[in-house]
Amino acid sequence: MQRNTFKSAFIAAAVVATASAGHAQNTSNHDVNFTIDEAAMVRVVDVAGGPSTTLPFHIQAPSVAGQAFPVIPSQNLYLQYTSVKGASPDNVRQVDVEVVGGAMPAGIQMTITPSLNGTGTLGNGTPVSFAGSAVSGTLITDIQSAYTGDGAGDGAVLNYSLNYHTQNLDAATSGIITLRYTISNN
Amino acid sequence: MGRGFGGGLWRALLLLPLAARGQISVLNGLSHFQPCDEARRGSILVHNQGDSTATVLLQSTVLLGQADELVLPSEVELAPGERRSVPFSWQVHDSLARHAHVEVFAVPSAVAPTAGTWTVVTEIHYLLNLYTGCVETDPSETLHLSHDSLVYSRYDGQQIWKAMGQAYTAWGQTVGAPKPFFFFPGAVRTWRYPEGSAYILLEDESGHVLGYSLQDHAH
Repeated sequence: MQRNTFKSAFIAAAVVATASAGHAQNTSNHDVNFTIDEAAMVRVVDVAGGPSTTLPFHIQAPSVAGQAFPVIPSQNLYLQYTSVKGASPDNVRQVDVEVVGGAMPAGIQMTITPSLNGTGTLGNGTPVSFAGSAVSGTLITDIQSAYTGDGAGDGAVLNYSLNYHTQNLDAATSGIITLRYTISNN
Repeated sequence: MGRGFGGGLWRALLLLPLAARGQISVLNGLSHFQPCDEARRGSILVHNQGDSTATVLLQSTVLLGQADELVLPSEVELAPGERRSVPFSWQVHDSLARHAHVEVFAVPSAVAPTAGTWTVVTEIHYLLNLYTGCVETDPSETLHLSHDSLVYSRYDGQQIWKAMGQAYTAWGQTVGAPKPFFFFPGAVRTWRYPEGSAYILLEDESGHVLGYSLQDHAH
């Protein structure tokens, strides 16, 4: 909780004087304070590591009348995080994702599948799907002290895939959907 | 034609992570406990990772206690790269535990809807737990343990109890890693104890020890 501060006292030096009068030994003590930030740092970036991007999913009509709408490829964003755990209850963390604004377009299910990459105890990822009334889920659990890197391609890969059937689509439904990622203690 | 997917038109689903202005972080932990024998003051260290000024909102919800018992600014403005300690205090004068959630997040950029597209905006929130209260002095009366493949612990007291759990074999050897616990009123914790465990001990910082036999209570 808050900062972990601990002290380590050590004997700094033993100074031996070799004066002609004989040996004299002086010992001094220092306190060394270590402070470790109990960091929780999260950001979402694109494939180039940029903090701002767009990922257009073009749900295009088929080329020939009578065909179903073709499946479109999934796309990735990257969840980059640095976490240093503290004392209980801040010894484990999790990331939840929730639709907090708007609604998924009719007939479309979106699934976010995390694939964790980095160093340390990155946690465990679980796919979360959004459709209809399913609007939230826990994406990553059991994060302890870890970091993902901050470069292009670093981080937990968030694979966004869409699943739909042509007969369920309705192009009249459009607008903004707000996805919230929340990091908290388990 | 304008309402359909056909006619050569397409619809786009856009994912728009907020720009760098929305990037903040919390640098001193997601849980804060102020014991009752101290001043019950703390701070939340917020960092603006972005390249522009960030307005950071702190939305508190007191889950245990009265809303006005937690004093916390609701908004701070951070320059690019700035770290700021946001102070908070509990205005509480009894021994009972209090608990609040505080959501910390940057004010999101406005995104205008585009006709014919679906736009997904992503935002990051930090959910902090703030606690205050006196530390439980007699957990044997307030902590209830049971088990199957997990140990279940339920705290029915009105204060806070922090303890470290350790599992032991029948021969008194430790088995598995110690597990920290933090209990507040109504808290239920589970523990997947290691194979070969015969009993567990929960010990707090004051030396109170609770033991629980996994054999005497075998299911």
